Amino acid sequence: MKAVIIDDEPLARELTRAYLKAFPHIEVMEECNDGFEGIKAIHQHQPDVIFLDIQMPKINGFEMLELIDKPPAVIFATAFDEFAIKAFENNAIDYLLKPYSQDRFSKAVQKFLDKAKPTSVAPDENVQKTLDTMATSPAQQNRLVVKTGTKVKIIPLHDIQYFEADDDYVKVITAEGQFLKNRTMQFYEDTLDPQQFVRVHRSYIVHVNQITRIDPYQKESYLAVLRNGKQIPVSKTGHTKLKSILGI
Amino acid sequence: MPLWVTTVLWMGFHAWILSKWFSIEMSVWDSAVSNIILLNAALLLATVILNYAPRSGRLQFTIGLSVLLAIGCQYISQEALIRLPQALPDYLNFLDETFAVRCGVSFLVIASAGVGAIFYTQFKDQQETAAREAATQAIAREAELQKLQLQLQPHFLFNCLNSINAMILVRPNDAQTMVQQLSDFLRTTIRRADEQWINFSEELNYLELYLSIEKIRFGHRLNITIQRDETSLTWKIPTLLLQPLVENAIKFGLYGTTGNVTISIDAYVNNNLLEMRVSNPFDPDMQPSRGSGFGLSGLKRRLYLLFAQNDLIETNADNNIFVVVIKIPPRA
Repeated sequence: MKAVIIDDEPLARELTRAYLKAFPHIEVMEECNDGFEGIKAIHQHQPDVIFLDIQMPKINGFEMLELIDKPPAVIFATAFDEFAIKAFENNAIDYLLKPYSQDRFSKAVQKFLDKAKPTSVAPDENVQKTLDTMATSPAQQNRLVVKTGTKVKIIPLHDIQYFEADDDYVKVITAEGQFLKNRTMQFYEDTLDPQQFVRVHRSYIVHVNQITRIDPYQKESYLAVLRNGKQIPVSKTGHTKLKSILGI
Repeated sequence: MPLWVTTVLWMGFHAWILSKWFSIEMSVWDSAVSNIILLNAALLLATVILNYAPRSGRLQFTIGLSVLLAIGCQYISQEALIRLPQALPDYLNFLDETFAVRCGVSFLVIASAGVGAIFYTQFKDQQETAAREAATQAIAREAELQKLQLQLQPHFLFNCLNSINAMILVRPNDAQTMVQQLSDFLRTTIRRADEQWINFSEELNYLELYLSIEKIRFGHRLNITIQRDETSLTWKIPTLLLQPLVENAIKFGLYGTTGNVTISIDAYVNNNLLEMRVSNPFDPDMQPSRGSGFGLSGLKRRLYLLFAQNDLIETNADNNIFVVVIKIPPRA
């Protein structure tokens, strides 16, 4: 079995490697210093499991996972306090609170091995759930990470004009262009600050700061005009929400 | 309001006295012209004292200015009054003879306005100082708590313990060193909670302790240079100033970029100010993840409360290097 260790502290990686000696059939393919190296290593080695730190340079562990199409099984290793851990404890294979013992580490790996055997639980499904429960992630970080080609781009939330549904994807529209995220409208509606990002229509979530005016359109529907002139359809319920947030 | 009542009463009194010798019309004119000019002079002096007066020698300044204003006032009043058609020769005579007396009275009025203004500014100063002292104490307590939270922050501590855990396995001798350094750092942190001012050299030792730990954790990326001159070593600085600043710089450098990170710390005494300069690389495209607790605005506020100066902190972001400069005046 193949593993990749992603942590920005060399000593932490050494420890994981040392503890992994108890599992001779798990081979460490690569150690990575940050999420960018992590993405490359995962594409290259297609590991069965990764050991992932959360606080890392530029993009954190969660953001890195969001950028991987088919994420492997994940065991988080982090010094975050338990309070923050609660958010994902049910969905990751396991999480290790630094500092952790060999015993605790072995249990986590055993858990992964048990789940990996029957192949019934697809690891990527698990990770997806983890990410969804880290619902607060974009709001907490005040930013969104997208991939354009092979490059990773970090978009501050305040640069986002609106979100638009696009089949199975969501389009993120900024002044610099559009980016696709493999997510649902529901996810963004649930996780972003509802005072700033309003689901004005089945297919649109708009950043309220971008709205310059709201015009009546057809019976019971409206158009929100954005700063750049773009017109966004607003449903009746969307209009009610907007009115209460804008205080009109 | 009381000013207007006083002015009107004073003007009435002035006119009433004069009316014993001259026509009512002439008396009212005399009173109105000279007192309105006098009032303006008094207000001018009060304004000057409230806004522009020097900190020392205020009384001399006030008396001197009052004399000039009183003479000026009377001169202008006289020039105006002699041109009035109602001014008869015996009135003109009277004006000439009473010039000195009028100057004296004007001086008393203007000077008392000035002295009143002095008292008022002193009262204001005292209030401000008291408020500042109270706020300083409050913020010191706040900072104390914050410092403990910051430096004993669980994230830092647990990562250190994890590093030690790893070292015990792979480099047992270094593990002992790190336990020692971490203990020294924690002990100093706890001791610092009671102190307000320390020598810069002490802060530097404390900082080096902290940096030695960060070097163990991030030595592969982290490079630190410290430069200081001899005079800086004995300079008194407030506690909890430099170390949190460096910690912030390290955090921004390490988590905001992916390459090697050089943190430079310079301290020089310049123009009777200790200038401490901390610089770190940053990526302008990065959206910093949320507030780092003891931010720069808190630092600025603290410096203001300690020194009553707003220009002691400067930041500058150029060529992807972020620089913070803090100036510490000598301790009075």
